[in-house]
Amino acid sequence: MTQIVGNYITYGQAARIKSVSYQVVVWATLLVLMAPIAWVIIGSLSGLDALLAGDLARIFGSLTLQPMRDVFFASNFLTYYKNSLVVAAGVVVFTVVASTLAGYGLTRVQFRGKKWLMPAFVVRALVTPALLAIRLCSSWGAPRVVNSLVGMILSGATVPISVGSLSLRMVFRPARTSFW
Amino acid sequence: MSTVTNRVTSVVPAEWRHQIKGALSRVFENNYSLLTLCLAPALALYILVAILPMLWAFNLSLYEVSTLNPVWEWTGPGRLIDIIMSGSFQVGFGRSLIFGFGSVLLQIVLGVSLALLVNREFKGAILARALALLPYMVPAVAIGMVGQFMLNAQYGVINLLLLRIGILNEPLAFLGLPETAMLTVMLVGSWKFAVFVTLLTLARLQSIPENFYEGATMCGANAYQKFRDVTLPRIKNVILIAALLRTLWMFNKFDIIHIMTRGGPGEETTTIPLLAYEIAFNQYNLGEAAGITAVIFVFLAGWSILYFRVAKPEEEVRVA
Repeated sequence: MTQIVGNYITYGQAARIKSVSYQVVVWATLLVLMAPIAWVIIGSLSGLDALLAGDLARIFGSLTLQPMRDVFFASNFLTYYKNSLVVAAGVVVFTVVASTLAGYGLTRVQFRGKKWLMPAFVVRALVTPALLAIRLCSSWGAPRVVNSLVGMILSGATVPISVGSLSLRMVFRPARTSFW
Repeated sequence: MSTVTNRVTSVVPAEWRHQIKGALSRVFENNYSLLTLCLAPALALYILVAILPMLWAFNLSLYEVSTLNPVWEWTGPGRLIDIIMSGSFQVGFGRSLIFGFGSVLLQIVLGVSLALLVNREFKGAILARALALLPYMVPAVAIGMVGQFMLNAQYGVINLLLLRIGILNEPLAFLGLPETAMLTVMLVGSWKFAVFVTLLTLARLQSIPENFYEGATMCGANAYQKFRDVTLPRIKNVILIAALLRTLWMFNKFDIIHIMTRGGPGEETTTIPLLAYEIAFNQYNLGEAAGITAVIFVFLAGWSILYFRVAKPEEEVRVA
């Protein structure tokens, strides 16, 4: 049992105060960090009129589920959501399969110029994407890949594949070669 | 499972099975056919989506090309010198440097601080770590729009709060003033991208054995000394990698600036990617835009070489 002795506090009390203060700082920081996300949620429940009025009392006083209903029933949200799911799933499947194969191949086989592969994969990040998109749009027009989910999956998978191949190479490396 | 396998083997004739087995083992025994088979899907996509469009863009930079005119006129490498000497490029490059390095500085300070904060074990630590990583899940486009909305001078919640607290006497157009626009975009972007630094640093912090700290405590080290002598030496490489990588990405950042300010007010936030976009799509001069990209490519390639020489990412990213 800890107790205050004179003007001093015991070691246990000091540790407890330290721990509580630390947690207060952590949760206060996270509260500030989460504020924009909280604002998006509040904004989505209060409607545009209340938000544009610039009155906090009106914003918090007019919370309603109507904007949510509008999203689900008065717009093509479900179509967009389905498209996002298809693109995300496509990118994940394509990335995992291609990266695993590439990572395995890169681990098993030694070849000249292997050390240049990582810089080659990073090169993509050095060019402004908008300019690359012009070429993609013009060259993918004929096979009708532009403005299609397939086109989005293929272009979306480029960066994850390069990162994934190199990361998976590190995963295969510790495995004993005698295993194969 | 074995029933399915048996069914398959009974359908495929024994001779074929033998041939398929032989072909597969030949592929796996031959290094080059194995490599070709394994790398083909990833490499094909990378060449198609990244390498070929890049080569096309570099070739384009040597021509005068308008989106309204299909004829390409040769200008040669002299065009690149003209671009480097032009005032708009130099100003844009300066802004890109400010945006790139300023953002990275903010992200390192915020990201590392957040990682240190949520690294310790306490009740709800897992939830706290999950919440800390949440901003990285929000798309940059959404962040740009939310930031624009929250910072609006008329109805933005940040102005409302600052007025109510008494920090501001009148609403401030954070994104509309030349003095505040760049810093505001940097702060909003860093809210999301600092989490990348947190992610890397936290992973490394979690791998530092607890007995290192216990040893330091027994030697009488205070909190600062523990940080300086135990934590910092172990996270400094990760910080370096994050800094170099983020600089590369922030220098080419387009989406968040385009959504929040479209390069304004005036041209105060027009960085190089926005300048290239403006020249390509609003002035219809594809050749010059490609030239700008080629010049920046050379600068960033130099930065990447520094990254690979100094940070040695292949040594850092290893399985424990």
